[in-house]
Formats: sequence, structure tokens, C-alpha cells
Amino acid sequence: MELVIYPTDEETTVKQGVQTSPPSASATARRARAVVVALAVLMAAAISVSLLLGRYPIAPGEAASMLANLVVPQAPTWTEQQATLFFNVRLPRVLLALMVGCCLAVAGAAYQGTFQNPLVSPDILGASQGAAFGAAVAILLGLGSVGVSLLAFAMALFTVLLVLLISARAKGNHMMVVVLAGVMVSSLFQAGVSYAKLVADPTDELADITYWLMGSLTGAKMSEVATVFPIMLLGCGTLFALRWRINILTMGDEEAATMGVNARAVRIVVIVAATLITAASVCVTGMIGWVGLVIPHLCRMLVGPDYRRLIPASMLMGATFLLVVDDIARLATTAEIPIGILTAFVGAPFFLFLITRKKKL
Amino acid sequence: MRMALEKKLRRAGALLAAAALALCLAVGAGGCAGGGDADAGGAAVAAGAAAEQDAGAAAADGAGGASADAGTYEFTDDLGRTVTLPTTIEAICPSGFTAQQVLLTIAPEKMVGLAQELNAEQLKIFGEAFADYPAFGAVLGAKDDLNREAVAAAAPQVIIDTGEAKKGAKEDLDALQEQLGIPVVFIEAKLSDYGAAYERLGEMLGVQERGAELAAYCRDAYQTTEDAMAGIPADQRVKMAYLLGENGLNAIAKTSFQGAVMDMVADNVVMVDDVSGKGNGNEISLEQIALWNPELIIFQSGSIYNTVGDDPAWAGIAAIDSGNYYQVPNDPYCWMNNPPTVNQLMGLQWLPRLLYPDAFDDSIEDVTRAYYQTMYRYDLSDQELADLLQDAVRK
Repeated sequence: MELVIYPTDEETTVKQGVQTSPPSASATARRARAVVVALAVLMAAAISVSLLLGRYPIAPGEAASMLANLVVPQAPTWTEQQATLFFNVRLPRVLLALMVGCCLAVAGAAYQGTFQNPLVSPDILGASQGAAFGAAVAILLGLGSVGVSLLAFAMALFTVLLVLLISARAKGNHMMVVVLAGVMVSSLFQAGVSYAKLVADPTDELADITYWLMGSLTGAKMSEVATVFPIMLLGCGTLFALRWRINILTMGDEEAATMGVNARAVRIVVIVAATLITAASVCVTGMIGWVGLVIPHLCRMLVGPDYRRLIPASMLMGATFLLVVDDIARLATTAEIPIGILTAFVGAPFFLFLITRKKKL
Repeated sequence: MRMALEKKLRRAGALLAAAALALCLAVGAGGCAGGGDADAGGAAVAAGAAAEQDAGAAAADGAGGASADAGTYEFTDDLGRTVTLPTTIEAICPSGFTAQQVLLTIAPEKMVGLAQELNAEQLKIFGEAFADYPAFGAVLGAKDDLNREAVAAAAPQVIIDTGEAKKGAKEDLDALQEQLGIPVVFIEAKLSDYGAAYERLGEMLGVQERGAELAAYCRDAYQTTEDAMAGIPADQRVKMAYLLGENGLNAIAKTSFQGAVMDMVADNVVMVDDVSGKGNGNEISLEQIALWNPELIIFQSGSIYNTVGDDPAWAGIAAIDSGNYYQVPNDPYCWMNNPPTVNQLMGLQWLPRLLYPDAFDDSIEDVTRAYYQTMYRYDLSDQELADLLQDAVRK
């Protein structure tokens, strides 16, 4: 069942034991820290570039002075329309891309550690499908975009709760049961979404649901950014604080107990935090796949399997990745390309790469 | 050794990731630059519109030093939203596919972009110039593919949505308007009274004459069909079916949103429990069609019209045996639906004349010419008319 694509801690430890160079562990740590710093720099660069790129002409100097104007009043060299576009369209979109990318990647990394399964992504417990069902129902009811987001968020949490309650009653390998229950409940809601699509009015509702399922940051508003930010901060903060304990989770419950960590409690907290940020992401952007699966793996290649470095690296790389992909989504054509499609274009080939690479090991 | 190999692998991974990100950035920047060129046409149009606007404002100033506010007024749209609009509107943008069709008929010269690119046949009707127009995508509600910045860059003075009022539309249009700083209005347009929509649009866009012309045409066409149908009782209406799909096994069911024209003039034999409002209708079986046994069938373009006559599976169905089956013309838009908007008005005139030729004084050829002339300002040549109607009239 368990696919070992990357070296686990134990393997690494064994190899290090064979090696005769003790400083290699700290050297790896130092290198990993350098990678994290480099990722942060890369993200900062991507943010600056993204803020300057757009289909509406805003000169770099104007963008900079508009931003500076928030702190120190500047003589306006920009038009009102430019300011409206910059603050209502471009800025919220860049912020949302960063936040959602960060959340999906770190949730994916956390789930992968918790379930000791490298093929797990943030929607493993049904959060995405639950949210999709909530959104589809809200669209059919004509609730408007706020109602759609609210119902999507609520249904995402409800679905994960349902999965956990079901698996709590089941016997056998607990982690296996949780994943199985997640898959089953997901497919239940997937059927619900299909039915919603069947009865939807094709001229708008059906297209609306379809775009929602493909995910996009198209309609990003500052109000949405402000609403999901506290939830995301709480969830990401919790995962960041627990990153050392997630390391221990990957070693198994008994090992954790000998180190004085209550694996069960940690696992629950990690699942709750990761679910919260997944739900918060999905409810405003729709379904964006692959980020949560691919980014943690990329980061593992860069900084190794140690969650103390993997968590911050995933956050930074996830944010940068989604920002850059979204730049393509909004810049490539005059219409938008749903970002869920673009992430899958990158994600699927990478997944195949991982599978073929495994054979060689 | 293995350690070194692992390090190498990791380094390769890092390089790969960095390269991928760099590539993404480059593609993004390239897309931006390329898009900039493609937009030149749209931008030029917008600049032209802006120049005209300035000229208008200057004229107003000269006349009496009017304040800046004199250039705007409060407009109440069909969702009851009050929107501040410029008095003179020279640049407009459709919110989606149906609005695009409506605007192409009333004020194509004011459009700064499209929701969806036009195909070759549509370009022939509406003008090759539209080939260079940017396509922005459509506004839908919770999620859509409308590129906000691209729309704003084309600088429309108003974004226009048409169709039937939907729940939640008010909130969505308000949100879009606030985000872009560009007025967004909704004009109701429905089969029974496209005239009202054209009058409203004519007034708003300062093309009252064109609006009145289209309104009169739409009302007259609708009324003529309505009057003729009043003389044909329900039990004498033709039992028909509208089939589509690559096997001809999808049908627009009775009472479907897509089949409003059929319900008005014929007896649609396709009655199903869960009527689909989708453009591709309900899936049905050939046995069921045989059971219904329609006297007349119309096929959508792209279906089996050309092969059905020789298909033994379809032999025995009255419409096919008697050769009483036709193909719905598809240029510039399908005459029946897909999406159902002002194009339905052509179907509304064609279908009853096909079913009951004696109930009308004029021919299908007459109304087709008039429709293209009035709605699209396009004069069909004799050859074009013949091509269009090739499979759509009784032989």
C-alpha cells in the first residue's frame, strides 16, 4: 500500500549511520535553511513582478507610488481608473493567489505527513468535493457569490467532520479507514455535484458550476481576502507551530509515544488546521488541484523530508507557484484560463515523473 | 557514494524547480507582451471612442460651461439597480454570449470587445473587423472567465448584460461594477418582447432610431406568428421533434427553456419527466422516437440530417419515410436555440412557415431576407439565401 517515493527519516538515519562524515546532518540543515531563504527571495521577486504585470496599462512607477501612497501621501500621477483597477482587481488577486497557494501546499504537506502517504492531497478527506457540492447547491439556489462561498466553506467542514465521525466508528487500521471514508464520502458528493449539473440551467448556472469546479482567482475581491485571511493565518500558524511534531507523526504512534508526543491529539489538531485552510481556500477560488500534492514533493527534493524545513518551504513555494501560474491565467489571453486547468497541466506530468522515477530507486 | 548521488539528485531537483518557475515567469511575461500587440486594435477603438468623448465634452463646455456632472444621469436597469451612466455612450462591452448577440444587432460600432470570438461565418455577417477584437470571456456569477483587467483596458463606458433576470444577479453585477469602476447594467430580453429590450438599449446608447426599428420589427414578427397560430387549433398542429447530437438521439423536450419557439407553433412529441434546459436537451432512445412517431423532424446542424435517410435503423419513422425532415440553419447563429436569444426570432418566423405554409402571406425566403437585413444589416445574395435554406424548406 505504502509507496515510498522519497527517503523516509529512518532510511536517511541509516544512511547517515553508514556514512563516516558526522557534520553532514548539520550541513544538510544549513543548506535547507538557505533554500528556504532563497524561496522567500524568489517569492518577493514574483510578487513585485506580478503587481507590475497586467492587461490594464499601469506603469511600474505609478504602481509603486500608488502603493507608497498608502503609507506616505504622494502626488497622484495615476488616474482614478488605474487606482480602482490596481486596488480592486490586481492587488486582491495577487494576495489571494499567494494565500491560497501557501495554504493548499502546506495543507498537502501536513496531510501527507499525518497519513504517512505521499499520494495524499488536501482534498483527501472530502473537503473539496463537499465544498463543490455546497457551491453547486448555492448556485442553483441563486445565492450570489457570497452565499456560494459561505455554503462551500460550511459544506467542506461538514464533509470532513462526517468522514472523521464515520472513521471513528470503524474498526481496523485507523489511518486507512479515514482515507477510505474520505474517498467514499467524496464520491457521494461528487454524484451530488453531477446531479446539480444535470438540473442546472445551461445558459448560466451550468457554466457557473463548471467554472467553479475548474477553479479560478478571476473574481478575487479585497473583501474575500480580508474574510479568509484570519482563518488561513490561524491554520497556517498552527501547522507551522506543530511542524516538529508532524515529523514525529511520520515515525508512527509508538515511536511518538516514547518521545512524549500524543500522536492522536497532534493528528487531530493537524487535520483540523489543514482542513480549515483547505476549506477557506476552496470556498473563494473553487477547486484548484495538484498544488497540494506537487509542491510538497518538490520541496522534499529541495530541503529533504524534515518537516521543520518542509513546512516553511511548502508555504513559500506554494504561494510563489500559484502566483506565477495565475499570472499566466490572467495574462496569456484576453479571456481567462481557469487556473485549475493550468495547475493540472503542471501537476499531471510531474506526477508521472514521480511514478517513473520510483522504478529506478 | 550514495550520499553524493542523493545530493546531486536534490541539486538537480532544485535546478529543475527553479527552471520551471523561471519558465513560467518568462511565459507569463511573453503572454503579456504578445497580448499587448493583439490588443492594439481594441485599444485603438477605445482611444477613438475616448477622443470622441472629449470632443463631446468640449462642445458641451463651449455651449454653456456645463459642470462635469452634466455628462451623466441616473439609469434604473431591469434589476431595479440605479446606475450612473454617461449621457453619451460610445464604447460598450457585452457581459456574455447572449448580450453579445443582442449588441451585435443594435450597436456593433460601439463594441470595444467580445465575450467570445466570432467564427468565419459570423465574421462574414458582422464584418471582418471583429476578427481583431479582443474576447474577454463572460460574466456568470460565482465564477467565470471574464478577464477584468482586459475589459478595463478596452475602456468601455458601460458593460451590458441581457437575458432573463436571475436570482443573485443584482449582487453579482454590483460587485463587478464596484470592482472595475465601470457601470454594469442589466436589460431584460425575452422572446415575447425583445422590442422592449431594443427600445431601452436604443435610449441608453443614443441610437433611438435603430432601437425603434428593431423593436418594431421584433414585435411585428412575433405578432404575425401569434396571429397565424391563433387560427390553428392545438389538435391540428404538426407533431414534430427537434433532434440533435451526433446520433440524433438528443431532443429538445416540450416545455424546455430551449424549445420555446416549438411550444408556440407546434406539438412537440418529446415529453419527458425531467425536462432538461441544457443546450443539448434530453437523451432519448430511437425506440422512444419510433413510439412517438413524429410527422416532421428538424435536426440541428452537425447532427445526422445527411445520413438519416439511408439509415435502416430510422426507417419506419413517419417523418423520415415521408422525407419530411429538415436541418436548422446555423449561420450566424442557430435559428432555434443555442443560446436562445434574439436568434430565436428567426426560428419563430421560419418554423411556422415550414409547418403551415398556407397560413402566411409571405414565404420563408421573404422573412429570411428581411431578418438578415433588419437585424444584421446584411443583404443576403440569392446564392447565400439558397445555401442557407438548402435543407430548411420543403422540396
